[in-house]
Amino acid sequence: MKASLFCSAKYVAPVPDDVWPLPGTYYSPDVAVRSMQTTIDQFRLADEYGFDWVTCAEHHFSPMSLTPNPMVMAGALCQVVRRAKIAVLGPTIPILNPVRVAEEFAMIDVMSNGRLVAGFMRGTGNEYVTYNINPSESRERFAEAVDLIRRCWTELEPFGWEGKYYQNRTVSIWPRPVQNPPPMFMSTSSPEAAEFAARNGIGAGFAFTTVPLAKKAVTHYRECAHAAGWEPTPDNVIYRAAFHVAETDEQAFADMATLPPRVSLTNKNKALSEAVTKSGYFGSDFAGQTTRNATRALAERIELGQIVVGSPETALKQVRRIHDELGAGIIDLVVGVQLGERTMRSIELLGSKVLPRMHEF
Amino acid sequence: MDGKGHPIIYLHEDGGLQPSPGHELLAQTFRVITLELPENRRSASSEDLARNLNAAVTALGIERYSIVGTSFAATAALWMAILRPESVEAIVLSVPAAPPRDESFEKRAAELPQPVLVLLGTDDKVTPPECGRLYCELLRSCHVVFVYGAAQAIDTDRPEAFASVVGDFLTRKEQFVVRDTSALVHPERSR
Repeated sequence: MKASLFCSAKYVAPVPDDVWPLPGTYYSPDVAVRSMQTTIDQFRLADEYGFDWVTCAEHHFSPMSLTPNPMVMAGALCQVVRRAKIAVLGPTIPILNPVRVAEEFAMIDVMSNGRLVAGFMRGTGNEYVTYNINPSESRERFAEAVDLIRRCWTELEPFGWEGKYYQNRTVSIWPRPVQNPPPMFMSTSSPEAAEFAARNGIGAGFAFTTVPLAKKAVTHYRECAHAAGWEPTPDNVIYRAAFHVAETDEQAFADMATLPPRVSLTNKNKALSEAVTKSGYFGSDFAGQTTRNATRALAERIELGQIVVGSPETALKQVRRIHDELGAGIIDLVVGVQLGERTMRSIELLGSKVLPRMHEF
Repeated sequence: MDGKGHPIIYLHEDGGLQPSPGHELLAQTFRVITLELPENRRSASSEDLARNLNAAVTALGIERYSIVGTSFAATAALWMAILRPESVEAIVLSVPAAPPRDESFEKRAAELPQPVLVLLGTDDKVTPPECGRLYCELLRSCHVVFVYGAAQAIDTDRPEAFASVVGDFLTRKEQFVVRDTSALVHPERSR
C-alpha cells in the first residue's frame, strides 16, 4: 500500500471554525505566509521520508485551506518535491473552465516530468457559491467537463466544442501531458459517481467518509467496472483519512485533544446547507451523503476509519484494517492537527516507522 | 423547402425528405432545401450524384448556396462544391463517413476554397475518432467541432446546438471562431 501526504494549507492561527465564508477581518498576511511555508515544509519532509505522493486540493473562502487554486500549489511542489507524485485531488471541475484545467494539469505533468495524478472533483456544496454556479447542474457540468478535459489532452487537431454548458470554437492545448493519460481519480462515494467513474475508466476516491460506507461504495464501483469490461486494481482505489502519529498513543491522543471537532464547510452555513440540499446536489443516496460528514467524537472517528491516531504501531494496525476492508492501494493521509514540531514529527514517524511496513501489504 | 434567407442544400443521410428538428431550427434563419437522394445513393458514384443534385439546384433558380451533408452524403456534398466551386459558399459535414481514398477526389477536394465544418458527436460509437483528422488533412480550410451528448444524428440529438453552430458557421465562415455574442449579465439599455 502507498501513502500520500495531504496538507490542506490550513491557516495556522486561531480563527472561528463555525463560519463560512469567514470575513477577511480575521486575516493576517504574516500568518498566511507562515501557513504556506509550513505547508511547503511538510510536503518536502514527506517527500524526504518516502511518501509516495503528496496531495493538494481546492477550497475557497475558508482558513481550513489556503489553496483555492491547488494548481498553483502543485506548481510550487514540482520544484520542492523531488520524487513523490503530485496529486491534485482536486480542482473542483464544475465551477472551473475545463480547457484551463486541462492546460494546468498538463503544465504540472510537464514541470514534474510525468508525476501528476489528476483528480476530478465536484467539491463540497459551498464551493458552488464561490463562482456562482447552480449546484443542481453540478453532475451534468462535471460529466461534460471531464469529457472535454480528456479531449484537450488527446485530440491532435484543433477542435471546437458545442456542449451543454461549455462552448469553445478552437482548442489545441500546449503543453500536453507527459503521461498518456495521467492517472485519473474522482470521488466515488455516491452511487452515481461510482457508475460514472467505472464507465469512464477513472480511479475511485473516498474522502471524508467512513470505512463501512466506503466499503459499500467500492463494491458498487468494482461491480460497475466489471460490467464496463475492466477490473480495478488496488492502485485504482484511494482512501483519505486524517492522521496524527506520536511516539506513544498517550501523546498522540493528548495532541489531538487540542483540536476542535470537525464541521464540514457546507454545514457551517445553515441557509447555504439547506439550499444545496434542496438543489438535489447529493443525488439518490441523500442520507449516506449527508451523514458521512456528521460531527463525531475522536474515538468514533477512529473506529470508523476517518482518522488514524496513535503510536506508529497503533497507526499501522489502523491503516492495515482500512487496507484490508477496502482493498485500497493508496491512503491519502491528511495532516490531522497543526502543532508545529509535533506535526513534523508525526510525518517523520509515519514515513520512517509505518510506511516501510505499509509498502509490504 | 422551408424558410427564407441564404439557401442551404440539406442532404439527409437516409435520403428522405423528412426534416429533422435541427433542420427546422435552421429554417428559421435560412432557406433550407432538402433534395431526395435516389435509392442507389450508397452504391452510385458520388460525382454523378452531385452532378444531378447541382442540376436540380440550378433548376430551382438558386445561384449561390451552402451545403449540409450528413454521413454518406458528405462525399456528394464535397463533389457538388468541386463541380460548382463558384456557386457554393460553405460546406457542413455532419458525422461524415471517412473520405474516399480516390486520387482524383482527394486532389480536387484539396483545392476547394470553401470553408468546411465537420461535426462529430461525442456519443457516436460508429464513426472512427480519426475521421475529423482525415478531413483536416484533406481540406484547405476545415474546422472540427464536437457536439457533446450527440450520437450519429446530431440534428436530432442536439437540434439547438446543431442549428447554432451550423448557422454561425454558414453566416460568418472561418470568423465563427471569434465569439460575437454578448456575455453581459444585465444588458441594460443606455439611458
